[in-house]
Amino acid sequence: MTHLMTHTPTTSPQTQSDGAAASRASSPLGRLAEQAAVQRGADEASEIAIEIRDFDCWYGDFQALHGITLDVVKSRVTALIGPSGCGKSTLLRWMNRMNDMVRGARCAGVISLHGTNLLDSRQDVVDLRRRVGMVFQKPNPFPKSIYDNVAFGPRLHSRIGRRDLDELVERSLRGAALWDEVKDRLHKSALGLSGGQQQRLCIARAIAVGPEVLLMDEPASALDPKSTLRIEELIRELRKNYTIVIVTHNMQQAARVSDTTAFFFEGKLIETGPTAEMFMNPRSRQTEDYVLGRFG
Amino acid sequence: MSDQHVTAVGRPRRGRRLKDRVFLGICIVATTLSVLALAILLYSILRDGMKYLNWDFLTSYPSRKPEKSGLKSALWGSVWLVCVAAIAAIPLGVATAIVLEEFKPRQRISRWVHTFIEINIGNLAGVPSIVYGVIGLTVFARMFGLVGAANATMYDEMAVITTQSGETIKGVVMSEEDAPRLELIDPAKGAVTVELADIQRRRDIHVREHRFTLLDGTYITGSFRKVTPEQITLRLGNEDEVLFEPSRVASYTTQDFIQFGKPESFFYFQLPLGPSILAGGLTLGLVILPIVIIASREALRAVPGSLREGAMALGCTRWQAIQRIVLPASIPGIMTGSILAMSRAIGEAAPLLMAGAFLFILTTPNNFFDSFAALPLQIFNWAGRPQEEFHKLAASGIIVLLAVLLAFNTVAIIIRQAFQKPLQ
Amino acid sequence: MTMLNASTDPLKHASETQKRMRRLVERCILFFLFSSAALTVLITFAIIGVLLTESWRFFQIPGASFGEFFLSREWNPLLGGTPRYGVWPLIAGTALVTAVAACVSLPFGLITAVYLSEYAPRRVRNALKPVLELLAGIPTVVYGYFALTTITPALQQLQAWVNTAQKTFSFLPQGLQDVIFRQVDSYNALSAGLAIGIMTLPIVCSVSEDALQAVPRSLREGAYAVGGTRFDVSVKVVIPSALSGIVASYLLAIARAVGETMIVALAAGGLAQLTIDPRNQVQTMTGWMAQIMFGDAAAGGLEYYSSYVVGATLFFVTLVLTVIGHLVLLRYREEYK
Repeated sequence: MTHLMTHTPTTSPQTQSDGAAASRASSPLGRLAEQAAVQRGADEASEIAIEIRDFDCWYGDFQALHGITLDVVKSRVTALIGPSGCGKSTLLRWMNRMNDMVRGARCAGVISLHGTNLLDSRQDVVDLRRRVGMVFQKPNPFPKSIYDNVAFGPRLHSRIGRRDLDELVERSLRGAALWDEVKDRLHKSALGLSGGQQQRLCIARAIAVGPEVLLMDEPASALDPKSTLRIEELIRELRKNYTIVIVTHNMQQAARVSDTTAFFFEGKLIETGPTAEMFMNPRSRQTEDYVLGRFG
Repeated sequence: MSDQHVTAVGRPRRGRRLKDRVFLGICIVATTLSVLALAILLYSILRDGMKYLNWDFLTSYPSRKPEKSGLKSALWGSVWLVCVAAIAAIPLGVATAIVLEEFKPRQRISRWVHTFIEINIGNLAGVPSIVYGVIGLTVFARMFGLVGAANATMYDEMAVITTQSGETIKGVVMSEEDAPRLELIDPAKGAVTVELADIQRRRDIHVREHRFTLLDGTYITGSFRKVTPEQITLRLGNEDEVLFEPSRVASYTTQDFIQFGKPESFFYFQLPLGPSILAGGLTLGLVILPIVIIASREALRAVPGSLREGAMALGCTRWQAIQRIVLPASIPGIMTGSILAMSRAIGEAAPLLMAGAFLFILTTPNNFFDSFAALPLQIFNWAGRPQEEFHKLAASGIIVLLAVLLAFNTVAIIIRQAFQKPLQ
Repeated sequence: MTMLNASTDPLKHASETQKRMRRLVERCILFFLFSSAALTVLITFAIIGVLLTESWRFFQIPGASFGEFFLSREWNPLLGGTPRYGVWPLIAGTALVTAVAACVSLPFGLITAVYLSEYAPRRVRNALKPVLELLAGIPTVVYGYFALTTITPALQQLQAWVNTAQKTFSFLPQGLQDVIFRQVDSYNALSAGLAIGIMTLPIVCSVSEDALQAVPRSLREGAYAVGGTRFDVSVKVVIPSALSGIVASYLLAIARAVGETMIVALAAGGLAQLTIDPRNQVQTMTGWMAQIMFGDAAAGGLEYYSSYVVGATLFFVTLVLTVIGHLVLLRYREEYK
């Protein structure tokens, strides 16, 4: 765990004995333990997609985040959890500079994407957002056809021939697990889809421009349980090709979906680590209270 | 599901940032031009209008000479007109707004009626003001010709003179300048001269219809177009004119308006209304009615439903709730709306273009049946003349009009601000 | 100790007669209220009724025929001989002036609305909105005066300046030269149209801006998140989403332009002719009605009744435009429920 840094003093993580792990294999906790074991092995050689160093931000006079330092590993799902108002969505929105559009929002510190500080004023924000995509809490498809929704982003950035565009739209829709359901009505209005389908459409729209990182702000909170599960499956699939940062207030979802979890409270990063560790063996008392549902 | 990382294809677009900047530039230019148009408009009016803007301007009557012309009659006429319009439109408009907002129907039929009324008001708001003028002319001024001949022009003025010897002479006044004499044309008798000293009593009347019986037995009914001692020119129903000499007239009758009182007094009353302040004011009332309704509805809507519910829960009837709770709360909004409607009324000229409305009024109104002058009409008249100087007068009139509008709007805003807090 | 009885106990109900009185008064008030509402409907019917019956009378008079009104292309009622009452020159005049006005108000109004809604910082927006309200509140005679005394001379200056180049373009066919280089009439449709355009610009701007503002923020964010510039977001997402509101604003502005009287009465002239060159004099439907009502026409004569027929035509044109505009507005308001 050498690449993970937290504010609280580190104590060596507990390792579950194999015997104990085997007996819990079928339970959710058991699965987590397995995941943790796998991850520990793989993590040593991982690349970092986004580095956050000493990041503060304010809305007017109110300081929303204090000294956040966090690494987001490439091709992993990182979950940001915490009670409402703790700043997790704020951090997410700074990662693709969406907060530029909020009056009175300012920041200090560094957020680097592959070495370049994306908070720099010289950074091309438009290009940044092509590389760092976002899916929102409430599905927000444009009042256009399904095809035009997905094609919107690529059309903005490049001149693409019709055939290439068709291919791109199909690939994106497949990548979002939506192709089979809509392939016969690509040119119908996107607003005719169900909530879950619309959210997958938004995911397809986001991946159509070929981002490296996908930011997801509570992507399933507005959906019914069945759609939620589908989205979670999708996220686990997307992990192969994208780095994903997901904000969720649902701890079980974080446990199911993410590899790394970061716990925020009142604007500070309290603890971060592999998801299994965070849930089974949290180091901080606050983390433990939150994870066990004692508040939040 | 694809394992491929979806990469961007195609040729990248260049110059997107430039496009964004250019578009912003276009937006700013367009907006600036709009503002500039206003600035140029105001500047040109100020430049032209300052010359004649002085106190005399406000207190003199229009005249053929620009230097002596003023707005007095127009200002007073506008005041009277707007008062009539307000008295007509505001109660009616507020009542309609109350019905639409407070008595929301539940049954299907009532809902249909409700929507119908709403659509209606939307339409009325879009009717061109000159159509209102035509309606006002027909309904108010001429009253469909029900009260009198539809063919007559508005009216002719005649003087009825009773001489010292008790003789009655009725005729069109030709000239009063040759004092101490008065020249009249009595259509039956021809030109008559009366010594002023001979006059015991003089009464001016409005006459709607003249009926001549000629010596050869034919009738002619019409209104005067032109009268000279030698020839009378009458305007008839469908044809243009008929000329005849007074000597051919055997007898002659006139049909007065139904009138009570003297034209000079305040309590004069006549039917049909003619191109009077009452007719003009009612027409203006029609124009501003939709505005009053829409503004009052907004004001009523702004009253929170909880107030109404609270009142009903205490056992108020519908009307009591409205009268004691809703109306007092919405009065500021209604007042603001009404003031804005009145300011709209002051600026309207098209509805007042009634046949017979004179522009050379040299008096302030005596009563509601007097002819009217109005500020925008006067401006229109001056602007329409070929001489430069009158254009300057028009500009001065415009400055006065804009100042009045500014005053009205300021009052409305002040009321809105003053009463905004309590409701929250 | 005072005994509570009917006269001193405030909680005791009023006597029967008092209650009946109150109910009666309330009934009367309600009657008044509902008749007021009914009256507004009556007004519409009165307008339609008057216009139609008087128009019918127009066609009864020898000299005017239904066919001629709708088919003939000459409108010369005051020219001795046989007066001609074909309505098309008037409609053409109205259309020409409205077209010029639309060229000003529709694009400028929309772009200003986009600027105010998507680009302008709050301070600019708060400063500009009152300015636009001011533009909307200026009485039309003022615009008429402005058109007559400022716009027309300016146009004539401009044309004169263009005309100085006539020699260099003498290679063009003479007919084309005559068209390009003719001077602007002292009464013309162009000035009136420009003034009407400025007057109706605030209508387009405020209704369009409401429509643009009504587009939910989430749509904008979605577009920014895939890497859209402000231009992309405004033009490719927000405007299409607000389209029905924008169309409604266009219809309302056009309806207003069609019904405008004072500006054309002052600046557009009085000659009814079929022309597409806006530098010509034209007569509009409204201008004609103003001329009749305010002029010397014999009551009951053909000219007098012609104002009713023209009025009826005008009323129905604006009615259609206004109704469609309101229907479109209703539809866009429902889209975001």
